[in-house]
Amino acid sequence: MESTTSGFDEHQNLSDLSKRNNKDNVQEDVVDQIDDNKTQINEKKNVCAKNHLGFGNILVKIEPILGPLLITILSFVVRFYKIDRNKNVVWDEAHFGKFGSYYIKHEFYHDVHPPLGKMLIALSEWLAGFDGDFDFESNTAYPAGVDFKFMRQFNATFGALCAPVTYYTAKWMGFNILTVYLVSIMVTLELSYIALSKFILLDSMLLFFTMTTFSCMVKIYNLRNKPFTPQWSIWMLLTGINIGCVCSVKWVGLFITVIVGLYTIVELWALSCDATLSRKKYYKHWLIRIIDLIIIPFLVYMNCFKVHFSLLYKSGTGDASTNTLFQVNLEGTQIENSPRTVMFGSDVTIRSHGLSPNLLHSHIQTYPVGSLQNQITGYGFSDENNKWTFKFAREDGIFFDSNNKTVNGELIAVKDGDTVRLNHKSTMRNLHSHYVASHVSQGNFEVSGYGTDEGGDAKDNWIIEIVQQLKSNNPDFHQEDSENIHPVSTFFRLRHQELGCYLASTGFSYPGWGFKQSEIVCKNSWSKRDKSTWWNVEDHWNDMLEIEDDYVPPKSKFWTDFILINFAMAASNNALIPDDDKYDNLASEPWEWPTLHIGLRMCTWAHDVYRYYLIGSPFNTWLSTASLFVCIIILAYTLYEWRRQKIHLNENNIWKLSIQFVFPFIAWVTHFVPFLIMGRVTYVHHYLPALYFSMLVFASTVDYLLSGSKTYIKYPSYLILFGSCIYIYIIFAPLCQGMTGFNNEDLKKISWLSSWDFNF
Amino acid sequence: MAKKPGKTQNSQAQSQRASKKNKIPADEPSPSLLQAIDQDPVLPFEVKDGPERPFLQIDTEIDEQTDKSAPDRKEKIVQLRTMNTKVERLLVLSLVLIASYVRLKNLSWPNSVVFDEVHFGKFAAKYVKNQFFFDVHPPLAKMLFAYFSSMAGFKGDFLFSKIGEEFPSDTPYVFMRLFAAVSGLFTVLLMYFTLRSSGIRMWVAYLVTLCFAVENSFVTISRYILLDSPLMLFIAAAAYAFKKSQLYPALSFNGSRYLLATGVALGFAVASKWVGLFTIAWVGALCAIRLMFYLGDLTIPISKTIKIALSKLIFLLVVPFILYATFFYVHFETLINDGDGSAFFSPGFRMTLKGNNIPQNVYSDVGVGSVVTLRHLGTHGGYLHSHTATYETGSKQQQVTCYGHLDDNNKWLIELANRPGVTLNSFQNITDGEKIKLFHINTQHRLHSHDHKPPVSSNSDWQKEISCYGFAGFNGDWNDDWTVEIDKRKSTPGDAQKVVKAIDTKFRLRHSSGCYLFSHKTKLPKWGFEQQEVTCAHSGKPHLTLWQIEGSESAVLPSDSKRTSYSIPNFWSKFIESHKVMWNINKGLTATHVYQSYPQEWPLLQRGISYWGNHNRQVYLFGNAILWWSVSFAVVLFAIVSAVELILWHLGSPVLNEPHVMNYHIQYVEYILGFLAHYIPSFLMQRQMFLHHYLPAYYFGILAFAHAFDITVTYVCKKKRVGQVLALIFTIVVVAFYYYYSPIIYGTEWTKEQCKKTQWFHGWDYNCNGFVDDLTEYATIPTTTTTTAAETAAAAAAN
Repeated sequence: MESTTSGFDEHQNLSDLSKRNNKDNVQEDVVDQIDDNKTQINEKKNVCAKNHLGFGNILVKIEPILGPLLITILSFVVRFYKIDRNKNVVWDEAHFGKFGSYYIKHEFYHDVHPPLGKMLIALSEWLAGFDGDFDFESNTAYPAGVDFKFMRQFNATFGALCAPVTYYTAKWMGFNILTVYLVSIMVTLELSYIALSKFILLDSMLLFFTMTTFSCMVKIYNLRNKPFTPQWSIWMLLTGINIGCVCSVKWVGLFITVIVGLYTIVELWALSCDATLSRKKYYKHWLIRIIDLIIIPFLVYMNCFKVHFSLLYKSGTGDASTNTLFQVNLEGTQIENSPRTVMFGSDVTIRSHGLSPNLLHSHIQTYPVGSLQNQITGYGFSDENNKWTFKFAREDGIFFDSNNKTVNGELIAVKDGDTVRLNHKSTMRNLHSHYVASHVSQGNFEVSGYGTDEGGDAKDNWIIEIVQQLKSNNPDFHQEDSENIHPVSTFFRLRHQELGCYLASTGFSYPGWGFKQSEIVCKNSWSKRDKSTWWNVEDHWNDMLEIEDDYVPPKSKFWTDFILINFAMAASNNALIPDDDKYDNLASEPWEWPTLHIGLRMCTWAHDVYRYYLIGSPFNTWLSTASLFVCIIILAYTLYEWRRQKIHLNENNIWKLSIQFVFPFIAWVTHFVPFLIMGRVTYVHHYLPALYFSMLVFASTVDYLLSGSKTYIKYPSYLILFGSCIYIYIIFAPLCQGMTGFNNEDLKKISWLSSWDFNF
Repeated sequence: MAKKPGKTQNSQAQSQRASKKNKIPADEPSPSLLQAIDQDPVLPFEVKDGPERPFLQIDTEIDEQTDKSAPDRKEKIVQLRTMNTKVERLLVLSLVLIASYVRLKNLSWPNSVVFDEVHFGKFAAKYVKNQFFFDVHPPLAKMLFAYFSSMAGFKGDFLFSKIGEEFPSDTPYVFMRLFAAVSGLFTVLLMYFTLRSSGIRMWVAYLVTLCFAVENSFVTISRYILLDSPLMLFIAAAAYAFKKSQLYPALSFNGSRYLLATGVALGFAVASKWVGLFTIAWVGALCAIRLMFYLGDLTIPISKTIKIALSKLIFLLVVPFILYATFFYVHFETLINDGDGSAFFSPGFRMTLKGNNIPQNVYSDVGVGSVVTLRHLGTHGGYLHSHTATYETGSKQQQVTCYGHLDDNNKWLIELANRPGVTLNSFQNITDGEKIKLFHINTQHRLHSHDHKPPVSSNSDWQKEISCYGFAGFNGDWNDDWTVEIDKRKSTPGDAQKVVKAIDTKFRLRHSSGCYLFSHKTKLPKWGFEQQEVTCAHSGKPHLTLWQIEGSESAVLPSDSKRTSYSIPNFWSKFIESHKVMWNINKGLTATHVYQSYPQEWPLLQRGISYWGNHNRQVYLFGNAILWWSVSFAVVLFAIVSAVELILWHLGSPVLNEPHVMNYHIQYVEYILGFLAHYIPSFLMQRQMFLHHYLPAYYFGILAFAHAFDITVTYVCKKKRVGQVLALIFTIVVVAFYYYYSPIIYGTEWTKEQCKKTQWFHGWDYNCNGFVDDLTEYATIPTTTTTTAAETAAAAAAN
């Protein structure tokens, strides 16, 4: 409809806005759309008519196929170009290549990101015939047998496909054809996208799925007047699947999910006052969105983990961060069968069932503040300092015989409701809590190691509360006493006798003085179901007892494993807090991204290897950042004109403004602002998705300013934009295509800012 | 998505003032008392037709020729909402009497230091003595306390050093508390007038204000030397003046007068605590919303809207800022003597204080053979220091630390790396890139680094130990070599960028192994006398590896050679530096406190704060649960009602057509915004939080609640009597709660049994066991000087 002016039609619908509730309006919308199509076609026809040939017509017809095809080819070319130049493990290939290899070897590992991206990497490794025999050590050369070129190409494919996705997104957003090509070329030639596509990393996949999710949303916007048609249903479903995929690559995908959610809310809100819509149909709108946009993504996400678990069935490096049941069920597990009933005097390790399922740990280091007593932490890996001994509370007045195991020659089992004292095996301190505030989490009490085996007070006493007993997976195994504690299969809580609080792991990590181990506190727990207060005995040693070999541990439940692994991921994410005093030349502050203040050296800066420097294209980044401000001005001006009743905004106008300006802008905000707030280490590549949305805002701005302007302004302006985008790529290409040597004259010319450290 | 005409009606204030029919003429004497106090202060609002849709006429200051009635309407609304009847004067008088009784009662008890009086009393003493100190809060409220204390003859010799310490007879603590209490009293009055200006009937405003007057937490904070009471007064004054300004046309004399008053109150508030910034944000948000309606009102030309916006900008931002800066100026002018707070500040800043010990007029030239002191720039840790004590970890060699005080152990002799121990006959500068050794004169050891783990940061792989090493006759080894790297950007332009000059040159010292001499805010354990750790860092933050020379003496330098000092900062650089320090310290207040609480707990009143406990009595900051919960409930209820109304409106039902409902919505939204502006930021702050941080938000919550209360008892309840009875019952319950919990406000006598009855929840953790079994026992408990040291210590521990 607004193919000729960037402003808003002042003639139509002047009478009344509230008319949108009646039927006429709906029809008008349809008419609008038809008009829209006609004008577009007419415009193109006019261009062609000059040729007086059929060729023009053909061009119009094949443009939607040929255009994106050419862009895709260009995109593949710049991303595949000498992709194996650097024959070393570059940047985070060290992580992600390695994670991929674990799938080949089926060894369980732990990482902060969900599994889909890494499983795709594993797929590429498998297709490349990789046998898992190389552990991707940083900066080492790939051995001859490893076809890393294929793996990189596999990744680059995702990066390359971003270009056509952008093309269609832009088209569906209603830009004129020149703007569509402009933004597609910008994405195709974006330096940072190219640089990250060339290696075995998650970023190109994340970017790809972010873009597809957004494009699906835009497609739904296009189809909003044709609900429940097959086409509409398919795109709804696709949106859901894409949300699932993007969230299964990195949690950053939640940001685009928020945008789709917002769009859905706005759409449902608009629908709610549509008088032509029956209640039933309206609920159907809700239902289908709940299924497609919430349930489907969740199923995708969960199934990724299902595949993840079933692929990784052997014990590996990640064991330590999972709960006991899961570990016990892995092939080659470290946990061996042990005596089945825990007695006073037994040595045990105790694992939390909470957010960070670590083993209760203590060491000689003390808290630097608070009580200054011995630290109690959670530590996942096996260590002598994880061993604890069950002792009698001093008040009970029961004493062991000289073997420290029996009382009058008899073993006494630890029972539900017993008051116990947990004595740390190597420091001889007792697990203790008192009225001292916890160190990281707030509102809890500190737990410390205090006293000795002989000396201490009643604050060393804990009461056992058994909460769950699991049956052996061997049906023939005898029934176990449910009052006793059994390794692996009994979950219990430890209540502090004096404070009434429960021993709990919080999921936070201690700072440097606590070796970044996880925090253990005494917590006033609100519910018996509060898993952070659940514990189980993992290993159990007691030489007075026999080991029953026919015991088979219970199977772990997928649901529990799924939830726990997600919490564990969150916990490891929280632990990625930068050291305040350390200068990290790879990390950067969020403000440095849109201003392009700094880049990132992706590999060792030796002059004889091909070096890659990750930085956004100045053309794309600076212009798109500027356009964010222009966007605000445009929106504010429109709002002003509307308030003064100078322009008329009908529903279509508002939708168009939203999809072109508001949604990309909010998407930029949601992809950028969280990094300002979060405490973890941030890197340049975190800006990639946000950059895409700011480029879309740029496209909207250009479209708004140019598409209605005079021919002699419009075409030269586009020419300049296209020209400078390509020119900037050509002169900056060495940064993303690999460069050698130092103090290169060409590089000197493009060292525009002194903070760009690629030329020395 | 498109806008409906109804949308414009969902608007902000002032609509109510345009009216064609005035129901009740204000100047007509009211027949009965009840009618007099039940006068309806809400008038219908005016909607005009525009070219596209109707719009709300927001400002009725119309040309007198065209519309004669306009000024009249304006006056009417002012008249309806101002105190101008005898009845209302009497009402206010009774409010003053009640509030005075509640808030001024027995201020002299407790006769010892309560809670944060420890800080603010101490600061008052320092102001009186003109001694520099540092605090995270801006100065105004503290200065006021100090001013009143000195008026009452306080000499600053009592230091308020711990909670429970008894006041000596010559400390005018009652007078200081009186200031807080009077502030509290005025806050009560301001609430009444604020509610009246936003269109609440007299009797409803009176009852709500009465509830506020006996609100336990506000009574408690206004009895002690705490910043909260003056802060609340200023915030309440800002809210009042702003509401008042809304009654008059923009740019009119009265409107501007009240805007100026708002600006002044805001300035006072922000100069008392930074919380005032949230109040400014609130006022700013309301102005922004109002601006949208000025734009929508087609009768107002754009030029006028711009003028209005500019005047608000000046009154509400520039005025507060000028006041804020002025109070800092007074603060700096008052605290002229060096004191313990100056350690947080730069040497230049400290030079402005009397009695400072910052070296002045030191020789500018630094050369081989100079004896120097090196100051660390990234922290205020002080000087590079060594002493005979050795490390208990790593190499177990002699310790090197950063030490804050001047001392001979800070003195180092500069030697050329390849010619240690050689004295030169002529002066030779240290140039950029020079390799040197640093010789510690007192212990005859050299600054040394090697492959040992640092003493405290032992698990950071990028730091190494620094020690002092050597023995007589030993000329050092290559591990004693340091290369001087001048940071040209940070150094004063000129010679100081080429050769090392005292004070002007900022440089790094690179060890022969590549790491840099580094220090950070990490303290050594007791064996290191808790001095600051110094290490050699391979990747330390650049500002933490920066050093400067502060003292320099050389035997070969002529005594008349150039000397230098730190440049003395002007007011603005002092102002900015203070703010940087305040910000950083505030951010660092993350230590946990036994009585801290969390923002999510506040609306439910899950826990209070123990302020004081002694002589079997207690002071415990605690809210009036009835009013407190009602406010929280009203906020939640409003959110639900609004959501329902929004949906109804969206579906085409007429809502907001009744002027009372309309006024309720406008005022409610404005006050709720105030509540949120003061409450939401608490979630973002990482520092330790206390219940009293909720009080400003709570104040706005009460204002909002008042409107909900008003609409319920006068509009929702169709029968007048029912509403009045309901309102009375509510007030009585609130007062009863105050009464039953007053012993922990005033720290008066109570029994265990009475106390336990009031403990409805586990989290209300005042210590009931601290009270006696029977009230008669109090006769035997001494309350003055006879307390033994042990008891005082016990009381302090209990707090």
